[in-house]
Amino acid sequence: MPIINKTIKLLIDAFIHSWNNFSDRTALDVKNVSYTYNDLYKIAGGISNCIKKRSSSEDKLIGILADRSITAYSGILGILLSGKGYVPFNKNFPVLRTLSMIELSQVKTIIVGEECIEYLEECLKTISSDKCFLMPDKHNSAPLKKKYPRHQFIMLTSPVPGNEPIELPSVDGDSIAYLLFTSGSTGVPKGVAITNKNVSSFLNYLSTKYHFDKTDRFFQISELTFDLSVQDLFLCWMSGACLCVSNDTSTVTIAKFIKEKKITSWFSVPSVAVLLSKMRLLKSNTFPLLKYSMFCGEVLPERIAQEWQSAAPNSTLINFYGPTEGTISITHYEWKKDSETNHCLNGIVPIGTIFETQEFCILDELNKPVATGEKGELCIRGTQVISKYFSSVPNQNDIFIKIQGQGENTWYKTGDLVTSNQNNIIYYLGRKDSQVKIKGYRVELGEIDYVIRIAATTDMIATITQNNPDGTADKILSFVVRQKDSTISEADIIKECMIKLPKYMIPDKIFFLDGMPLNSNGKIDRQRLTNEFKYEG
Amino acid sequence: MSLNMKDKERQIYDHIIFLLHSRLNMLGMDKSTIHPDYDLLKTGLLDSMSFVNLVTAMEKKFNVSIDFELLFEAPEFSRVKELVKVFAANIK
Repeated sequence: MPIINKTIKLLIDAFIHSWNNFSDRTALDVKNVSYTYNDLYKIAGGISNCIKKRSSSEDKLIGILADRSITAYSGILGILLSGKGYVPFNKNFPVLRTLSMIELSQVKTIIVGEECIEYLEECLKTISSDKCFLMPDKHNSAPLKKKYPRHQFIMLTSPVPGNEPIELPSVDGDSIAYLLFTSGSTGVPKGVAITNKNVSSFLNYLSTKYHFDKTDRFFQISELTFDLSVQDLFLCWMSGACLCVSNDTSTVTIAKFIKEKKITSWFSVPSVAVLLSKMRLLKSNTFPLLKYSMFCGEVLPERIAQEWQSAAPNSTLINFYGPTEGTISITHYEWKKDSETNHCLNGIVPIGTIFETQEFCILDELNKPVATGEKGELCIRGTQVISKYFSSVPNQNDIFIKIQGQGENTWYKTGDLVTSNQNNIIYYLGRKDSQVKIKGYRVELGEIDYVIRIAATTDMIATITQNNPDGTADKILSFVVRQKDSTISEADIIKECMIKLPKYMIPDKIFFLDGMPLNSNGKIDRQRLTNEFKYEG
Repeated sequence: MSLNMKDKERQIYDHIIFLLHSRLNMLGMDKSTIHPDYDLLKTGLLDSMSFVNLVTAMEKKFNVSIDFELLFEAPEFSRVKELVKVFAANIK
């Protein structure tokens, strides 16, 4: 039986470590069924064997279309066990977006969960190249085989029996562990491939810095297409802990779930905490069992941090920050329980210090480092940071740069405007472009404009966000100046958006204007739109 | 004079429709779609935040405070009729 130290080199090592040490402990609680590390290992082993038989050694990536089911979690492990990287797809995304992700990733084999069969049938109508779908064992694929003879529909094999050994992958750290897609302003999603080295570096740092163990119970809320889910799954499994998955996809019932499942580790976007606060569910000592409360993905308002700390008084509250390109998170700030001693800026909790294993610098518009306390763009580098996009992206050379006097190292320009103090604590100030965070999702407002531009056949379009008083983006408002004689309605535009964009990117309101307000430079005056238009619906 | 139960429920139901008006318009949906059994969350008409915003807007209108923990005890709390029931029980 292979023994792996807690310092991992591949993402799958995180799970193998606990399988070696805690094989009879519960690894996963999904749909109210518990699976031990050994159960999950055997199911994943069966999937791994199936992948090895069905895919060529040249196929480095396997897709997974599954959601909050045993197939979703064992599927990811099975893919990694087979030495491949996983590409998650999302049944809540429009079919067109998923097709574009399949196309860009060039996956040939896709694991499908029972809960996504209906969605798969929609995708099959337009998938252009031949694929192999690994279907749930109880599913009758005969009708699909008959209807779509160009594709293969193979039943996922059963778990490996008894003590049958499973060969561990022999890939190196530069192999892809997972591939995610983020919003792109040209209407095409951007592929971010995270290597085993990137994600191992992240997990090794976190598991050393914080103290999770086999008694912990991790809450799994983020969708698999969102990189926060990687932390949920693998920090949990690296610690020998139990991953608890809520049946209910609606976030309103989370508080009940946390109490029922005796969750000790929370990790979410701040929007979820804002929602609980709105429901008046962050009362004092509501979550006494929480040991760690971790937030990432968007700004954490100071008021929410205070409320949360009071609701979870025994937990260490950490605000993480990181772009997908930097592997989940790369800076951290530990909230001090005596809230007076936290130095927030503009009511926002600092994003804190860079992980000790990574580097940062703050640059001005000419890519020269700014003085301490000055505002500039945050740039990062290190073992967690990628050096190029998976697919072709315009102006990559402006995003991944070399800095004069810093040798041949490649730095990633995050687009985030920050400042730092003498203790190297970093404070987030905003974006230098039109990228925003909606419920933690990264959204290029330009991508929304792109879809509306085609639907409304006009160039006079602007999209802005309406913020909560705390500073978190709450709603998306789009403004359109219709062409003369155009009769396009709000419902027509929304219908088009629903076909092409994920739900979180669909505008909450379309305003039709006679003319777009322009500033003195002749550019669309977004500030004026922000000041003059409010939507309460 | 306090309203009888039927009038109260009608008033609550009408206000839910009023609050959803703009959303329905935007989606090109008719208000007759929102029947008592209509599930505001499961149908995808509202996301979690919009659902909570709807409940808080109703609290403001009827000057009541709803216990969300209790609301979620009901297995079908996001159906229109369940919301109507909860508010009717809270309004004096």
